[in-house]
Amino acid sequence: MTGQGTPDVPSGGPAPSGSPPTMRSPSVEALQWLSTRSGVRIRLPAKGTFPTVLEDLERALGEGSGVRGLAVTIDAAGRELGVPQLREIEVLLLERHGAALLQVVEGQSAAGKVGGLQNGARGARRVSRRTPVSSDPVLDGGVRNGRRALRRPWRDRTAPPPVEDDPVPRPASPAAGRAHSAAAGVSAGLPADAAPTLLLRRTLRSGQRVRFHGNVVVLGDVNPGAEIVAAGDIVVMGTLRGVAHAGATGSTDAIVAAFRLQPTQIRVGAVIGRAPDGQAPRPDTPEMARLRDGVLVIERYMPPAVD
Amino acid sequence: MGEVIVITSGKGGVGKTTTSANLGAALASLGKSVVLIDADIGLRNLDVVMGLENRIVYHLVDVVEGYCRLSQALIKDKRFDNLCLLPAAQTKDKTAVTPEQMRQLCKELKVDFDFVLIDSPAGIEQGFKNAIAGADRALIVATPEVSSVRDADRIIGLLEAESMPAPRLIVNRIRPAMVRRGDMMDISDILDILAIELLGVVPDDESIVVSTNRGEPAALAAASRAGQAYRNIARRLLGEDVPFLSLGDNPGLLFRIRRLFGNAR
Repeated sequence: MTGQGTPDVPSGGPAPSGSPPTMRSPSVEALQWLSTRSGVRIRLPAKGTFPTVLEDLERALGEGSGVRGLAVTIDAAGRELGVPQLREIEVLLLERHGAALLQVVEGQSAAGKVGGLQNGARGARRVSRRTPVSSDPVLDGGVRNGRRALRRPWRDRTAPPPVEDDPVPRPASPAAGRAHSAAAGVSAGLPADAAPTLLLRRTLRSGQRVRFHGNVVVLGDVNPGAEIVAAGDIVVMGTLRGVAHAGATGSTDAIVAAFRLQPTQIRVGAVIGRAPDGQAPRPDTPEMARLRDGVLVIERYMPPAVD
Repeated sequence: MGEVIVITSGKGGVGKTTTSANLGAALASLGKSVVLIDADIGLRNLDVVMGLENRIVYHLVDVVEGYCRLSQALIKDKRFDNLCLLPAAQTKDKTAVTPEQMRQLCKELKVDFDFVLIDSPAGIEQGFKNAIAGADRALIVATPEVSSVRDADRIIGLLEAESMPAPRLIVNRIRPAMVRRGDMMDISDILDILAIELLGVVPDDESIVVSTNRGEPAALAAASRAGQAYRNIARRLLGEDVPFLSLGDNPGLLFRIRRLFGNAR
């Protein structure tokens, strides 16, 4: 269990690769390091200014072989991290140490402000694979995934404006974006205004909520009581039973598509639709909800022709 | 080293306590050493269901506060020497214990016992967090009702967030006749949403009410169908491959369960 019981010295448990640099400090205010099943969890010191915290983090990451290829969870220990600060941490992890920032936990009190996915009482404990960010959304790892899932051209579309409480910090420095392009590799063939896409490889359960400033693709189900709010489109590669709000920042051409569309509620832009009372038909086919003349309609999903 | 299993559900009244008592008794009858922990501090029930209420001297809060030794608070069952109960306090509330204390307690208990079963309180607050703190894995109890399944789903999400291995499901109080008429969710409907492994299905059975009131776990009554279901669940916990009960005159349900297992997800 990786709850609050984070030991204040480096944990037992096998080090994932090599031996992670240990921060042996008697003070509970020091940075803490814990290997978990899903990667590495680093708890930032509760005191001190952000630059010193960042220095601590850099020192802890050491020469940079310890976390390479791992998913890192940052526990902000109650500290409120702004988007630029998150960005700095992410850049440090990704570019200097080859590790992905999986999620940021703000501690119990400020549950889920930064994390994209709130796990109710536990706060934003676990955010699914976040896409790395870059200044150029086209180069975004998430977009590559999204393109594959969507196979859908982005004509007639401007990049959607950010959703409030934006879970993924948006790019701060163009330099970061360039560095990213090397990591991302492929970028050809995508229009420059493609929206970032969040890929969630898990089932969203009751009480879990995702907000994202781009598109959201779920490889799993969205159960009743779960909620997705996206500025762009929502695609569920499973059964959508919860609430989906596409085009949350006002985009009226956003869509909600699912292998099985059985939602509690669908919202597109400012239009809200709900399942009819009583027994609704449940076709065994992928469907898509969109606005037509301001009315929410559900239609059979037709894959767009490949260009 | 034993295993700590928390029995939880989110929703109240679905049979967590009954399940804990019966699984404890069934595992003990199979020769395993078992300790039951009632984590429902302030609303203790497990002792009543086990028929051990009148033997309580010390309780869980006494142990964690250091008023007594752990061994002093453990009550030996009347039927099995290898079954013990650690009762909850009735006069305190959930905040009397911390997750860290529960972790420590479970660590000590699993040295001496094959199974530590924790009866979780309803809800997702402090009591729930205490109950799952020391657990190695979880069993989810759900009844075939939409509200119960919804709460179970929430609980599974919370357990995932704790990096606990995927919990297993016990569907309690199913009524085959109602399922057949289409008036009750069937097992496949539930598994469709929860997508976790099914450990057992317990039929709705009047004998449970009787045995609960008498403080005699139904798992020990040979004639009880629910008791048989609990005995089977205990054997599955031990790793045996036990076929699911045929629920009365309903071959359809059994067939559906088998089919589900044929293409387990």
